[in-house]
Formats: sequence, C-alpha cells, structure tokens
Amino acid sequence: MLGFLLNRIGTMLLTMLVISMLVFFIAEVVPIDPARNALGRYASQQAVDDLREKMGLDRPAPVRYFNWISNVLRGDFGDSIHFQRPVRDLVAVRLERSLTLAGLGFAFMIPLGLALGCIAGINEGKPPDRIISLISSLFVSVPAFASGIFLIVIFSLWLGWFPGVSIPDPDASFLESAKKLILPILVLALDEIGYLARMTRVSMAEVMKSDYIRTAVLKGIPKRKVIWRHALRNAFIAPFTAIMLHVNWLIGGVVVVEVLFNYPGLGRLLLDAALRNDITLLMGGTLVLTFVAVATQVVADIGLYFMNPRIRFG
Amino acid sequence: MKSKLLTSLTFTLVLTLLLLGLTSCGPATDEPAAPEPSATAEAATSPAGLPVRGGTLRTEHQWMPYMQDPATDGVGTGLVGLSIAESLVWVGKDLVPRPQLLRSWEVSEDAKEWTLHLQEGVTFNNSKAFNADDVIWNFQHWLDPDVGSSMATRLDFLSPTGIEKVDEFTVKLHLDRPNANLLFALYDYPSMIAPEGGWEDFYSGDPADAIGTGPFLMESFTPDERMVLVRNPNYWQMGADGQPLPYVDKVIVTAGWDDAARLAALIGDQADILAPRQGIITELQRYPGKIDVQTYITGWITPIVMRADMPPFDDVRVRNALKLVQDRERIRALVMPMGPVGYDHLIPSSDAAYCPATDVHRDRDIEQAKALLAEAGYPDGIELELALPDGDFRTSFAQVYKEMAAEAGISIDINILPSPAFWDQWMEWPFFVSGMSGRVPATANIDLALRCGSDWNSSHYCNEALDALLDEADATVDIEKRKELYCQIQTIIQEDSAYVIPFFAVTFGASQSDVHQPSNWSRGGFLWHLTWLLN
Amino acid sequence: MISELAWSRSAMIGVAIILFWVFVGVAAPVISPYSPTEMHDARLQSPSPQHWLGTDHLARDVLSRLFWGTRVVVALAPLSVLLGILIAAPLGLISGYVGGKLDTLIMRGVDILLSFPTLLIYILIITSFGPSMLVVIISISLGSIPPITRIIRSLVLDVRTKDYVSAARLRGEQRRYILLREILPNVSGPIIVDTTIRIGYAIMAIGALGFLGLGIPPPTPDWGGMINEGRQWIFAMPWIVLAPAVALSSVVIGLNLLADGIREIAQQR
Repeated sequence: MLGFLLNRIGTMLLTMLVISMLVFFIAEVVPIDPARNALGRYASQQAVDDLREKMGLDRPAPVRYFNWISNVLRGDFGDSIHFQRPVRDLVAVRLERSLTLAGLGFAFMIPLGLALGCIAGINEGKPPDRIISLISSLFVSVPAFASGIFLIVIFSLWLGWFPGVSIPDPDASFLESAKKLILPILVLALDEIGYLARMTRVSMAEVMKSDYIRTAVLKGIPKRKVIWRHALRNAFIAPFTAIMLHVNWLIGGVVVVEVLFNYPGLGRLLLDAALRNDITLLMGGTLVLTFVAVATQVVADIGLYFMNPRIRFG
Repeated sequence: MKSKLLTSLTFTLVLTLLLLGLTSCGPATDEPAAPEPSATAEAATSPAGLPVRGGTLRTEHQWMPYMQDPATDGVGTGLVGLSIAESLVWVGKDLVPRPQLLRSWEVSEDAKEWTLHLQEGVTFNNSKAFNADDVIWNFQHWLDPDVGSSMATRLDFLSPTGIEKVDEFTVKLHLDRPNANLLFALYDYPSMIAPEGGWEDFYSGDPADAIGTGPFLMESFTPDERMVLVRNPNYWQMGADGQPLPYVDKVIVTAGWDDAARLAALIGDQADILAPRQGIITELQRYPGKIDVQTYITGWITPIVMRADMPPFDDVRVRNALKLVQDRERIRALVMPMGPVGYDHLIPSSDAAYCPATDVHRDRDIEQAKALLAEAGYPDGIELELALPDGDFRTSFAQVYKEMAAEAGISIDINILPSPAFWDQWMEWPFFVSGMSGRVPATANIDLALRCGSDWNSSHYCNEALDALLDEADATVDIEKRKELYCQIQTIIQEDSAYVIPFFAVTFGASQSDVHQPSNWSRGGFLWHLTWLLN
Repeated sequence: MISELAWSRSAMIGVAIILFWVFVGVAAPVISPYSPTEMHDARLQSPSPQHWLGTDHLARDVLSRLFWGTRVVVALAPLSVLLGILIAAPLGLISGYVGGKLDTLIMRGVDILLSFPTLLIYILIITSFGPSMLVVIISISLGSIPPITRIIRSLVLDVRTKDYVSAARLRGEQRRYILLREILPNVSGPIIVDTTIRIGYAIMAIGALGFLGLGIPPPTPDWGGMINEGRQWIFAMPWIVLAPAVALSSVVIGLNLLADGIREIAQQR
C-alpha cells in the first residue's frame, strides 16, 4: 500500500515538472517583450533595457527556467507584469474564490446527480429512466456558456430574481452574497449533472443485474433493503471518482462561468493574463491550477483504491 | 452504516432543496421597477434646496491597474486617484479651465510666460502644508525623461530650467515656445499633485501612502477590482451649505462590469452611477423616472490610420480614395449611433478649434475613389491588411469599413490582435485602427499626433506647413486671429493627412434618479465631491 | 451499417439532426437568404418576414450568418478529431500491442498530458500563436490525442488476447498486418462511438473558444464568435445569441444520440 501511495505521489511530481516545462516553453514562444509590456508605451528605451537586465531576460532559456522553478519551489512565483504585485498573493485570493464556486457547485450537483442516476438505474428501461436519460443527454449537450446565457436572460433580466453581477462585495450581507452566487453555481452544476447522472445510472444498472444483488434477493431480503444496503454503496464508487477524474472539464466550466458572470476567480485571472501576455502571472497561475487538478486526481485515485476492495486485492 | 448513509444523503438533499427554495423567494426590492414615470420622482437636474449629506456612492471604473508612480499612468487609474490627490486645475464640460490648487493665473501677451498663483492654507492629508515647492517638484518630475510620464510629451514646450519659484505661493513658467493652452495639460489623469519628494507607492492600498489634498482619502485598493474612498474631514473646499466637501461619506469604485451586470445593478438598486455601453442604452431608457442616461461627447476618436511615409499611402490620392469609400452616416449608425459624425479631421464641433466655414462634408463616392486609385497606379484595385486591437466596437468598425471599401476594389484583410500585441508596435503598423482620447483643446491631440517627429505620430505624417501653423496658433493670444489659423489647420488635416474618421466616439453615463450630479460634469474626471444622494 | 442504425430510435434521431446540419453547412451559399457580411438597413431588428431571425448589431442577417457559421463547425470539428486520431491511433495501437517499456513511456506521457486542463492548453496555445483556423484545429487535435490514445490502447489490450489474434501470430504474420487487419477492424466499433462523442466535445470547445474571444476571427461567421459579439446586445436582440446557442446544442445532442444509438445496437448484437 505504501508503494502505491509513493507511486502516485511520484507520478504527480513528475507530471508537475513536465507541465512546468511545457508552460515555460509556450511562454517563450510569445514575441512580446515583457519589460516593455510592464513599463508601457511612454517609457524610454533605456528604462526598458534596464528592466530587461533586472528581470534577467538576457540570459538563456534553460537558466531562466531553472531560476524560475527554484523560486517557485520556495514559494516565490515572481511578480505579475500587469499588476506589479506578487503572483502568489493574486493567485491565492482568486483561487479561494474559484474553489468556493466550484465547491458549492459540486455540493449542489452531487446529491441531485446521484439521486437522478440512481432512480434511472434502478428503473432501467422504464419511463423514469427514459425521462431522466433524456434530460441528462440534454444537459450534457448544452455547453456552459449557452446554458449560462439562457439562465441570465430568464432569471436575471426577465424575472429579476437573481443579480446578473457576481462581483463579491465584502460589505454585503450573507443573503445578498449568496444570491449573487446562485446563477453561476447553477450553471456549473448543470454542466456536470448530466454526466454524473449518466455514470451513476450505468453503474447502478450494472449493479442491479449483478449476481451479488440477485443472491441477496434470493436470500429473502426485501428489495428496498437490498437497494439501499448493497447496491448504493457499490454504485456510488464509480461515479464519485469519475467526477474527480473529470475535474479538468470542470475547470473549463469554471473559466467560462467566471467570464460570463464577471466573477473574479482564478479562471478569469488566467484568461486575462493570457490575453495580456502577462507571462509571470500566466505561468504561476497555470501551475497552481494544474496542481489543483492533479492533486484532485491523485486524491480520487487513492480514494478509489481504498473504497474498492476488488482493486485492492485483485 | 447503511442508515448513516441514508440519513446523510437525505439530509444533503433536503438542505439543497431548502437552499433552492430560500433563495428563489427574494425580497421585493429585487423585482424590476415598473417602467412608469412616477409623478413623485425627483428630477436629477435640479434638486430643491440644500445638498443632502451622507451615504455611499457606488460606481464603476473599468481601468484601475496598479502602477508605482501615478505620473506614469497610461490607462486611467488616475481618474479615480484625482479624488485623493488633486490636480492644479479642473476642466468642466464647457471646456473652460477652473481653479483648483491654482487660485488664479496670468499669461503674458506672447504666451511664453505663465504666472501661477497657488491656493493658500491647503494641507495634504498627512498635515504637510501645500506650497510652491510641491508644485515645482511635480513639474520637474513630469518632465524627467527617466520617469517616462506622458506629461513630458504634453508639456514638451517647457524645460526644467524654465520653472521659477517666485515666492511660497507663486510659480513662474518660462516656456521654450509659446503655448496658450498650458492649463489643459494640467488636468490629464497623470497630473495628480504629490507632496515634494513624491509618493513612495501611492496605490499600495495602505491609506497612509495615498497622500493628497483631495476631498477623499483612500480606504482600500485592489488593482483592477475595487477602490474605496472615504471622506476627507479636513478638505479645504466648502460646499453649498458652508461645510467642507464632499457631501457623500464614501465612494465604492468597482471594475469588471459588463452590460448585463450594469442593467441588473441599476434596476436592482445595486449601483448609483455606471458607464454603460451602447447595447443597453435603449433598455435603460425604458425606466425614465428611475434611471437617467447621459451622453458624453469627449472628442475620443478611433481612426483608421495609414503610414503616410510608406507606399501605397505616401500617395495622397490613395489616402483620399480610402476616405471616399466611407458612408459616414451609415458607419456611424452601425458602430456608434449616438456619436457625432466625423469628417476626417480630429476636431469635434464643440471644440474651440473647430472651423465650420472650411469643413467639407465629403460624401461617399466610389467612382471617384476608383479613379484616384487608377491615377495612383492601381487600376485593378488594391489589397491591404488592417490591424486592430481586439475588443469593443473597433472590430465592428473594421468589418463595416471592409464591406464598404470592397465596392471600390479595395480588398481588406482584417487582422485582430490581442491588445498588448497590438499596442506594443502601434507606431509601426502600416494600416491600422488606432485610438486617442479627446483632449482639450483638440490642437493638443493634433500636436501629439501630427507634428513632424512627434512621439505619438503613428501615421508618420510630416508637413512643415502644418507645423508652422500650429506654432503660430499656439503663440497667438488673440482669439479671432487664432480661429483663422485653426481653419487652415483643419483643412490641411482633412485634405492631406492619413486619417479616416467617420465618427467621434461617445461614452455614456447612467445613474439612479436620486443621485444629484453637478451639471458641469467633468469629462476628464469624476466630480464625486460635488455629488450627493437624495435618499 | 446504416440500415442497422434503424434499430435504434436514438440513432435515427441523431442521424437526422446531423444530416440536417451537414446539409445546411454544405448548402449555405445556396439556402442563405443573404450574404453573411452584407449590411442591411436597420440593425438589431427583431425577427420579421425579411429577416427570419432578425438582424445583428451591424445590420447583417442572423439566419444567413447562422447557416454560414455551420460550415466552420461542420468542417473544423471532425477535421480536428480525425487529425487527432491519425496521430493517436498508431500510438495507441503500438502501445497496447507491443507493451513493455514503450507502453509505459507512452502512457506516462499520455497521463501527464491528460492531467492538464484542456481549456487551459487551448488558451495558452491560441494566445501565443494568435487565433486562426489552423491554430484552433491544431489545438483541438492536440487536446484529443491523449484521451484517444488511451482508449485505443485499452481496446487493443482487450482484443490482444483473443483467439484470432493468437492464430494470426501463430501463422507468422507481420506485426503491422496483425495490427491493421486483425485488431483494428475489431476495435472500430467502440472507436466510432468515441469519435462521435469526441466530435461533440470538439464542437463545444470551438464554441467555448469563440465565446472567450479566442476563436475564428471576424468577419467569418462562427457560432461561438456570434455569441461573444452578441452578448452585449442580448437585451436589444437576444436571437443573435440564442440562435447559435440552440444550434450548437442541437448538433451536440444529435451526436450524443447517435453515439447512444450505436452503443445500443452493439449491445443488441
């Protein structure tokens, strides 16, 4: 077991290393001069050259990469070119906001998705299954930006129930802040719920047909008890970890939602950094975000390992 | 074990449904106001009685990046910063400079000597007294080439050696060449006045760093997100009620808005003053008793520019052909419906430099355009690439222009670049869509953009006759004589320069009806200290 | 194969939707009432008999732009996925069949790339090289390569132990022959299902990129781009945004239905 854990963590570190090189390489390709970008149009060429030297831009790429990586490992991600503040501070604040959004989206979506998938799986082939499957297919096919726009038009503009603004206001009451988050959370949830319901349905249907369940029924245990006690536990494993491994898709959804609702999270920060060629911020932020994704996957992997006795001993 | 699973599942489901239910029963204030003009609504233009004190003003400003030295501001954070650290003068909608930290001023007949009289008894918010030493330090700082401030370009007729301290509250400026419009340069967004020695880090977010003489103090600043200002209890200017300004207690300025958010916020009473784009103006006008909409004509232009020193644009016939394909009204209607039509010179009709007598309103003439191109050696038309920065209506402008130019055999390939990539080499593109904020007077922009060798001369246009006229106009104090010169300047630009300008861009303001704003709302900055909330 | 599809109702509906849009894409120049870049009299008009979906902010006919925008989607998405398959298939086949160190190396690489959030990759690549059709195609195919490789590899692992493969090996056939003639045909079923779904993902990705402003540059009509441009006019004329959103969703629904149907049929067999 220890071997397994070490293996996973080792892979994670290797992954992060390779990704850091990839990110650095792509940033290298961009032809914008970061020093000029930082100082603006009116600065004298001398000032730009001085800054280039200070930023170490004249040194060869491998040297710069090494410097960057060793700083990162010490917790120093450099300063954002546009904001002229430490990347670490910027990313930390925005990351917290994105995690809040994603976490709430998950909390919203998981019970509903699981419930829908269960009902569909148990009643395979019958009307509840057909309806739920149809709805799931629909949700899976409507991209986040489309559903977001529909929801904004309906709930914010026509009905006026929820604000179309999701800019956090530290002075606002809890209820007001909560209302601001409802629509983005809803969009995120809808983006994932179809997928979760489908996976749950499939694994639930499989489990219902397994010998394991049939034996229990034959033993005389009432069907409802069978479902609750045996089927659920087994059926939940696969979708739960499938969602964790689906985290990259979720990140894409978070970026889109943040742009759509003007929510100042990490996704939007990275998009803006990319558009502005704020290389330090882009590299640091991408590394952090990827780390979150990779770490989630590793956690899911470990969780799956522990939850599934078959894998452990098989 | 199984019952635990069951209960936790049920609990989560119930909680979720509960939350759903709770939040969908919003309080009544979230419903959109009924679009009927209310008889009792206050008219925003003229409130009865004295100003009302107190309250928090919630507004927006889209460009609030951080910079270490406000003098190097190239984007506009200073428009908010000016409420904390004032400038020497302010300029209202009527384009007349007014005293602020300058009490009064005199200019010599030849416009080469300016005497500035400072306000007395003003202190910075760190209790340091304001005097001539501060003003002189700021001028020196702006002119210092190592600082890299755009003020250096605006004040390029002044050298550091020409600044003389007469006494504690008087400064004399000896200009290198005459300039009657000096004061307008002293109200641009980098023109905040620092105490002698400058700021360490004005926008650090720490209130103690934001030293200024202005009506507000900084409470907090998160770059590109949010700036909060609070009342400066010791501000030196008095309000209409005899008490120190400002009237409001607090101003919250946020960024990151888009039109959907603005509409929702104004209807839902979540913001007081916002700057909407065109898309929601008609929608906002459906709430006449609740929301007021203002249009600001600022002289801001987004011209199509050509390199007058490069083929094919070095031939004036090609330049004029490109101007003749415009159906100006149509472009305006599609791209900037509420902006004034432009006729290729950069002078707005509201500007003092505008000359109606010699303004030629050239209509679209495809035949003439083709003829000119043929004369210049392009009988079969011409292929061009148009570069522009992404975002906003420039993209629309480019697409519309492309369609119109196609009829004259001009085939345009649109190349949209991310902003930094575009502005990085904006002085090098051969054919591009540029941008220049309105300056008062318009000759300031002409100076910056059209003088031979000027820093911002992105069309690399060089016409000695024009330069001579500009010099003469600057030196002429007599208004009538100056007007004649302006007419000639305008004609040269219209007939010969490398600009295609079918419209002037406008900006909009939208505010709640219970917000009283000064009628002389300043173009360059926001007069929040003269604003009050009627509730 | 096509006649088999008739077995499943989902598949039939899916095929109908897809064929509809392919037809629209191919026939766009003919069936569009106007040119997609032509500017008419009035902007932001509501749907009317002259303009069934109204006009956009530059007075262009929304319906025509919608039809023309289909071409981008119908062409780019399958192209990107096919490009991805072209590279991923050999990788997956070799990795699964040969096994050993090569397999471990390839799968390590795939795993590492899979852990990178896809949209981020697209954003990085497109903002570095500039948005254009070529860059979008390359980005999306790069993004598809890791998952396709993995799927093909696991399919190959499944099939590798089958009798007909062992028989071919005993016969002394070349490795290439085994891969192409014995294995590949027998994994084609699941691959087709996956490809169909993946084309759907590609379409959503193209839409998302257009929405973020990283898609095909204007004035080429593009559904995602229409949504991006039209967002600020949503109150004046929501159809600029609604039409492409509905269109995009319908194509993806069609693809998913088709994939579901094919799976159903495979199960019946």
